[in-house]
Amino acid sequence: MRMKLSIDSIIAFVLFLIGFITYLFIIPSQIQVLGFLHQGLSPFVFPRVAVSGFLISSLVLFIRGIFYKKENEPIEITSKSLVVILWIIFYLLMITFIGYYFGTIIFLFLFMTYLDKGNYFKYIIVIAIFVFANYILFEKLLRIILPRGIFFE
Amino acid sequence: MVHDLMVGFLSVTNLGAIFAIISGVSVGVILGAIPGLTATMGIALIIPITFYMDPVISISMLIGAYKGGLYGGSISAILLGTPGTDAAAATIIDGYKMAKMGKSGKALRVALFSSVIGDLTSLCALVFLAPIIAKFTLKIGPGEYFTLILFSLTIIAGVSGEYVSKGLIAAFFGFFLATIGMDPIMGSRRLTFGILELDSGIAIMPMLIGLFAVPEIIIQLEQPLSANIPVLMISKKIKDSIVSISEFLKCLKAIFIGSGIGILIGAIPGIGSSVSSWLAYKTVRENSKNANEFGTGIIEGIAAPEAGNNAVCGGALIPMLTLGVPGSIPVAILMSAFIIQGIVPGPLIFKEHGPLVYGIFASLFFSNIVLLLIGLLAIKYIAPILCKISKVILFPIILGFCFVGAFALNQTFFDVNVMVVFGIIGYLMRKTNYPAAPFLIAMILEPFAEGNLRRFIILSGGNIFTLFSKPLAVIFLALTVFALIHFFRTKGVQK
Repeated sequence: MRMKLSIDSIIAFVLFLIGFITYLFIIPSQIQVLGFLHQGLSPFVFPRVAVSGFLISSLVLFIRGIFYKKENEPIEITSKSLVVILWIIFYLLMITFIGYYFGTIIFLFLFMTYLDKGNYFKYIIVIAIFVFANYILFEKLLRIILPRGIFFE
Repeated sequence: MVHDLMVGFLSVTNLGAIFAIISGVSVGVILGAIPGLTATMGIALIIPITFYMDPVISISMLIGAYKGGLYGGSISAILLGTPGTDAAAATIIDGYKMAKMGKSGKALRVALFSSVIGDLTSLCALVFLAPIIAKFTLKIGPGEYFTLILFSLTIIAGVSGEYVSKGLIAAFFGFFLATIGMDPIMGSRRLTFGILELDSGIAIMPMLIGLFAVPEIIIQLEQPLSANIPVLMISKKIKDSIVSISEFLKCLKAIFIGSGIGILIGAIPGIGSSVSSWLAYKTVRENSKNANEFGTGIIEGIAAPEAGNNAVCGGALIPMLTLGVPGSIPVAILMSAFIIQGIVPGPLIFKEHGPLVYGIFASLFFSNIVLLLIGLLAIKYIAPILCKISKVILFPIILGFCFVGAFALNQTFFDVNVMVVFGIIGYLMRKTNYPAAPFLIAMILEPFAEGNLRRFIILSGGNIFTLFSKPLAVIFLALTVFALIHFFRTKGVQK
């Protein structure tokens, strides 16, 4: 007999496995124990309560997915959204290396141009106002030094 | 109470507080009016700026943004037929019809007046009920408090997701992530993987921005950018723009029914303004003599949902201030702003921070007046412009603000990485229908849940079953079990 699993069930199964590994291996190895502890003082109590609840809930979702299958349940993660996520990671790297101001100017211009090859002049004006406003608000008024980047520190 | 209120009013009658309220409401109206941006996103983006302000001013600004955002959603609902926020979806039915008939000015004014009256009504409920409930909640012990949090999270998990089990997975995931960092009692490291920045736990602020702003940007940019939705213009004729006294009186019944529903829904954890506006619309339509005219463009069809969604604000603050349990995402973000400011909402807040609480009540009142004035200006001058802002410029700029916002609070680049990671987690959660509300609320409530559970275990000598000797705890546990059974039966079987 071939059993077809719903996407919900597959995700629930993966989550259950992650929870199981966390309970058995990650929690014991990643929590420091300082001598013998009263049960209520143990730092293990709550992480274990949380993961137990997580395991039970994902098991219930897995079983429910077997009995109540939905007909249409595609998860639509489009290539465009993956590209946007890559742009976000690119922005993160830009700020890491060349700092917030230069990173933002370059990223915003490239990203806006990627989204719509339109009015470059408008983009430059908007970016200039945005960066200047951030400089005034954060550096001058709130006295927060925004990241300068690895290359400029 | 009158004396406390006077002190509260005095604490917000200064230029700083008034400027904060005006800025908050303006930002809220603007963000709420732009389709794709929500009041939630607005509050999350403002918090990094408010951190450096006085607590009353900071909370006033955030509350202003919340209220402004709730009203702002109706602007695009009426002029575009697309709700700026989920809470304004019910306003489209009659609001957009009225705008098509050339009465957009009248529709926007009805929405504004209803929102303001809904807000004021819920504020009255908050001012009178919160201190009474707070006195009662002072008697709650650690065991009872832990079961109350469990019950609240079960309700939030049940009503906010596709299935209760998905909501519970999100909630327990939130609980687990919140345990990362130094153990609050023993001071030992938990789940930090040797990363020093994690010793103080995952910072709430970058997590909030990542979870609510970043996924929205990704999802908005997934959709076609060239979708050209026509913006209906503000009517020029005076009679199509103003609301006469007879029309206003005609709406009053709908406004008060909507407000009552909003307060009740707001006070119940997890439901929120979207359900409230639909329920208000449905209830008013069913009790109206002109039920058939609903949907054809009548003012009661706008008044009910708008009063309903704005009244949620005051209602939702009742459990947050008195029990320390936030009922919805915007209120959870507000609660995290309280915590960032060193104020812990809950039974003791009236005792420990009485002047602050009454200051917040006063700022809620002022923000209504400001909302009325800014709303009238927005209708006249900026509403049509807001609806036409280009996504190509808007979303990259918001992304830039997310990065600077995540960095600003602790001034550490690690928080920017946290924001990006939670942005991706939030996006995947949205795509797989795992609700963010139980996740966020569990993360915020974890220190209280853990602290109370461990305190109870110590006090009971390690015997957790003594919980069953506490009547209130038994009631909350029984309600949790009933809620779980109900959600499993209704949602699972229906799907």
